[in-house]
Amino acid sequence: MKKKGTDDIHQGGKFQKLGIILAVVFYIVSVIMVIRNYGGVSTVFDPGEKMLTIAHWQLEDGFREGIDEAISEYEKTKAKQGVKVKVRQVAIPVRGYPQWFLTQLIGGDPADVIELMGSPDILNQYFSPLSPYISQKNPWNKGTPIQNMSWRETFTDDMLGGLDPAYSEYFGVSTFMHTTRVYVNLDLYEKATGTKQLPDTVTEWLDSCKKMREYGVKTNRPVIPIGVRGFDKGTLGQLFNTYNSQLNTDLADVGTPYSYGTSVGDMYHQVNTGKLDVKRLLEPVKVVTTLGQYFAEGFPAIDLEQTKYLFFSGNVGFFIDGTWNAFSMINNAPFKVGVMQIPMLSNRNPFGLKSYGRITELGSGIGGMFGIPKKTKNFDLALDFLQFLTSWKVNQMVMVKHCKWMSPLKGVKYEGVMKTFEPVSNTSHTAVFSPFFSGALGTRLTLQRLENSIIERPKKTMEYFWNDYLSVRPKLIDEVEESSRGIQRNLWSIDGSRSALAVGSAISRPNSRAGALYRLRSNINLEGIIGRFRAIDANTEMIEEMKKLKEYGENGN
Amino acid sequence: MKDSLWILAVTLAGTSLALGAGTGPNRKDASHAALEAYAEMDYAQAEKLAVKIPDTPNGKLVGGLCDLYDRSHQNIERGQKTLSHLFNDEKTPLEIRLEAGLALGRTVQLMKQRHDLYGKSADLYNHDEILGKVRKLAPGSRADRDAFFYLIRERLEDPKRSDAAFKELEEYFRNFKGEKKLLPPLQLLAEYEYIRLRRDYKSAVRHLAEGYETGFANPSQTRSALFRLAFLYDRKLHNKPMAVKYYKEYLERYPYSGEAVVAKRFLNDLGKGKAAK
Repeated sequence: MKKKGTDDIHQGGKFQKLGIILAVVFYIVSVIMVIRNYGGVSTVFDPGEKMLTIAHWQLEDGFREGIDEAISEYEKTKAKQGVKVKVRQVAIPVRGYPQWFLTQLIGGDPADVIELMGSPDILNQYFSPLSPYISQKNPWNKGTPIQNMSWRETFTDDMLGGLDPAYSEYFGVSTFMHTTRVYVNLDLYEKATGTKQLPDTVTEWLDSCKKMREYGVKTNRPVIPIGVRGFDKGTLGQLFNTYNSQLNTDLADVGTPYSYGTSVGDMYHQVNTGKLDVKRLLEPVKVVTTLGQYFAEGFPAIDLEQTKYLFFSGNVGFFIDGTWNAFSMINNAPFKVGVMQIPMLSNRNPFGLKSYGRITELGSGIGGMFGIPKKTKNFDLALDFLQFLTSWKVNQMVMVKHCKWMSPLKGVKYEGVMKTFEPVSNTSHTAVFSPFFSGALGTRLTLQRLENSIIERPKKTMEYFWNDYLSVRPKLIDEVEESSRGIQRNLWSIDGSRSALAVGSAISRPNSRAGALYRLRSNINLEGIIGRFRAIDANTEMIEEMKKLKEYGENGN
Repeated sequence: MKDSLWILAVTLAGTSLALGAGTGPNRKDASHAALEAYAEMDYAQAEKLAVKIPDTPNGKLVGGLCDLYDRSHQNIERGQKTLSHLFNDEKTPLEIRLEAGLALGRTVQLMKQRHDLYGKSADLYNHDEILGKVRKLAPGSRADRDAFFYLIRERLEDPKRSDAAFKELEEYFRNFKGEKKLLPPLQLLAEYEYIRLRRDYKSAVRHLAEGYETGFANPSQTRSALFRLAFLYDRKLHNKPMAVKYYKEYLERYPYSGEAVVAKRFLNDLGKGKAAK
């Protein structure tokens, strides 16, 4: 008994020792990891070396490698300037990014340059305003074609996409640009159609889809002519809006009473007064449901990753997606991949008799906004690095060379396959809005209705679509009313901004730059209110006109 | 005796500390810091600092404004009461009075537009009178412009007062003695209302052109205003030379925008396509 007790103590002592050893090992590993995460021994023990962290969710091929090269270039250049700096890159998967992003900001020790996400309130609370810097030149553009432009002017959209209308402030700067394209399995396409010429029109596209399906039956392969990300219905919306614009862009030429363009209230007013045939607004439904016959069986249950998998397996002919996936599509597919624009409606197609052809993509697709948190310990250096990343040479090196993504900067030239990514500009028409895509609920129900049209194949597609639209009219009106209430609530916040800017202006020194900026933002704020008035008035008109809409075939023509 | 001396000493020390806290540089720093934090919309910090200087005009202003606009600790009734006291006290420094009046007047106006949400608590105040008083206190100032902006929209909206409001708007532009740069937001409003309520394109374009020439603050506004100017001259006023002038200017300034392709086409339609190139 006694012996057993002694053994127990002996055994316990062994475990205690093991525990202590493990604790020490883990402590050492933790210290090493902390040092590594903070930039290595040289950074932690060298007080002269500054540390920067850049964080984002772009896990696509090439992005991290591009940023790594930019970092290496930046560190070397700064060292030559006598500034010791170490930059660390952190990439977080997009699914966990919203939580990680907020935790970082609330925790008070966020990355110094960070990809933006979240509401204007979050951005205003945690991010540094960039308006004082955007009208100055980007020093890293020296010696390039855009060296004389202000930082704002170097972007193709003049940074308009970066302006937060609620706070009249710029919290971030964009780093890339995308368009939507169709990726083609060239091997499958050539075998099925017997040609290398890719389809340019919807007629040709439908014809090649038919041949692909026949080829699948003949070779006993489960060929899917068009692969779409059905799960989030993104492609359905993309196709609908593309063809709606090609068919109805002339409505923007007529304009609203206020300007070029369309508004839902105005379109429905024209329908209700017999100036516009509602069938014109419904024509794109027919196009999409016809194309939908070539989607996979059960496409609504297939998400992006599954569609990509099916494409790589060689059984999908055409895959519609943004150019952010182009590099991985081309590089990772075990067959040759072609890239083309979404085929256009031509007047050789019965749907396209009134088509205006392709629509311009200029000025759209700019994204990848990065900002600088207020809590950064090195604001000047973070700003410098952000300017470095968005400078002419470096941005092209990261985006074009590594990612095969387009740069948001002006005057960038593309070569090879990237030429097919470039925004369409050889047209004289712009995109127009479809009235069926107003509001989150309206959009969701429209996409659901489109999906149902493809699955159920009603004989009178347009009538089915329109009457189903009218059947949910009360819910849609509720949503528009709620939107107006939201705008009114927003007017309160806008007045909060006005008040803060007025106080800022009052406490600034006369003729100071800070004071001038407060006054500028104060004017932006007031100008923004008119947009809210317009939106509320447009909603009121939309509701009035929606109430007057009649069953299919009963509206004026 | 010893005890009472001790109590006296402690009391005096406490009083001097309190007085010191009330008049020293710390208090001044807190006052400025509170305003600075408020200007940056860091409400939590602004409130924390305002609490330290509750009896000063700056402290009251920041406290009252945070009560109105800080959504996480909103107390509208208390905020409006504080601002009303500040605004109605003639000893309050002018800048503070103006901001108190503007915030009070505007929030009262917004609440009256949403009786369903806010009830009738704001009916205690007359926003028309408050904003009118703000204007009189500093004619030609930013506060005057803001107050007028809020008032005129409401008057234009009211069918009974609309005609008079248009006249008032024109008079305001004519007699404005302040900085010209303050006017573009009002000119934008005038453009919108002339079209919405009267389809008076001539007046609308006149105001839009003036605002554009002076310069809008928002670059997005500048871009859309320039295209609107060209479009309205072209399609509504059929003034070809002016339409051509503005389409060309648009192409020069915004060749990468979506509307650039439309501007080129419209110029061609006007027979000026080649000149545009």
